[in-house]
Amino acid sequence: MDTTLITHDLTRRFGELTAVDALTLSVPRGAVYGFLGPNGAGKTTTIRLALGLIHPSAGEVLLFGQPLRRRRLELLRRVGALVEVPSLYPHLSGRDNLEVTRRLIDATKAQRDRALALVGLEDDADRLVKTFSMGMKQRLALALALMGEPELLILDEPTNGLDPAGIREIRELICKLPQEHGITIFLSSHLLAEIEQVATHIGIIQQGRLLFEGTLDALHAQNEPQLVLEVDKPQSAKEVLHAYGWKVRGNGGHSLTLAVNGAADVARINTQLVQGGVNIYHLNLQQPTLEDIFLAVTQA
Amino acid sequence: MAMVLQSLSAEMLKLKHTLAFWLALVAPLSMVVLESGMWFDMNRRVAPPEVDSWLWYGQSIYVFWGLLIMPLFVTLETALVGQLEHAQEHWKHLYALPVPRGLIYGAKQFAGMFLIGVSCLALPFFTALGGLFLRWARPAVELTGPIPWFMLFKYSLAIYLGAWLIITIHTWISQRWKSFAVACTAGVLLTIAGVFVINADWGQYWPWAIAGIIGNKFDENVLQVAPLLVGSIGGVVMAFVAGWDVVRRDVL
Repeated sequence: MDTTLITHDLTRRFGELTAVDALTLSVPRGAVYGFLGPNGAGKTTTIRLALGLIHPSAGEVLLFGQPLRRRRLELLRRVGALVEVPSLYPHLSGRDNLEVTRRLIDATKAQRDRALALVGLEDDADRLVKTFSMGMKQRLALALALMGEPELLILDEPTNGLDPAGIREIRELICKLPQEHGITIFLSSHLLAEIEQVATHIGIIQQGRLLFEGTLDALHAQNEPQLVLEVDKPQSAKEVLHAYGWKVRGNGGHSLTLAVNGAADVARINTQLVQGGVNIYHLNLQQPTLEDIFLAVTQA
Repeated sequence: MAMVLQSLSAEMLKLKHTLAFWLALVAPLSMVVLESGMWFDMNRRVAPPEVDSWLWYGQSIYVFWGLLIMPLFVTLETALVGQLEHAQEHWKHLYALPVPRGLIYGAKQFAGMFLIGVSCLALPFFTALGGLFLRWARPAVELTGPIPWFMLFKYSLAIYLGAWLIITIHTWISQRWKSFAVACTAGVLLTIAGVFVINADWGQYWPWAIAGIIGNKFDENVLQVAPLLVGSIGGVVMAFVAGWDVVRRDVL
């Protein structure tokens, strides 16, 4: 598989604390890789390791198949990054902020202006950044990351502190980058709904360890849909369903939940309960959300 | 070489609209205004009969500039330059760029040296202007002779070179610690210590006293070579040590 970012047994310790623990992940080219984890799971530490900002205690980072440790500068030319808060100079205009980075990375003025256009800030580029809204600052920070025309864009919590409109702007931008510009995106977040809407691949990290990695579809496939029932006699219903081999969980009151394999199972269960003398008030087949799956994976 | 120039030009752009940039002119101007104000108030010949008034006037300015105002100004300038990056957590962005870390730090070091250099370049002009004003407004101070331009520039340059060590130390402190208060407190304490140790045998090697010691010999036209070398060569050595420390450090 053609990959952009790979880590092999990547480990980083801070004294007694192991922030990243033998992490092995792989980000395919062209993917939007959602890197999920609760606060303090090791997401930002992983990103800092991937950018060479901190040194690993063990393991290695490969960018585009080559070790970051040995060819850091050459490889970082192909990477854009936004780590946590946008790094901007409020006393400079939006264009001058880009100009500082442009001079450092030796990009062209055309690349600078293209990055501004990409994030939709051409008209506000000459305003001082201190007058920008949080969403505009975040978009400008994205323009900084995009200016070098990277193949891999690493974004750490890019929607932090944004209002719903700002979150939507960033989401739309993230969606169009792989499609229109062929950029692979590694996106860390603890906002599951956000990731669900943009990601093609998911990595779930907790306490520095990778608990799941794969496509979003594979993640959903691992987690069966749930059938929620409301019946008149929950105890009798449980007995009937147990007799047919179903694993039933009581939700309290008249409600029951059981894992099923699809609509055919729902019809079968309905028939079995009716034949068992149980009346059904309500029958609801639910697909687990990413939040359900995330909680199931991280609390397992 | 192109990369070095690009880093420097990026650093210069960051200084646009900043207090740090204006302070580079305000600091030497303040020094001259302060000293000229005292001479204006005295309204009599201040220099001893055997000494040229211009040299005495210049020495009064340069010794206070070197011993007190400049070290404090270096502290403030480097702290302000450091805060440009600390305030918005820029280090992560800068060090994730495909640019050698040493170059980024070196550009920062250059920015501090550039700003102090501008001040030291402005000081002879402001000193001459202050003297000319006194000649016009207070003839009694007897600033009658020609302006000693060569001496003014020579000692300003010597003070500047002697200050390289404290510029590099304070650049390192301001980059190494995020807190503006740490950078300022360190500078104020070490500068005040310089005032107390200047007369000690080893005082001429105290980095914060070196510029003052050089300025103190302005009227005698005796260049203090040993402190000058300690300050300038020490500054270059310290810049490499600080750069090495910054380059190998994790960016958290």
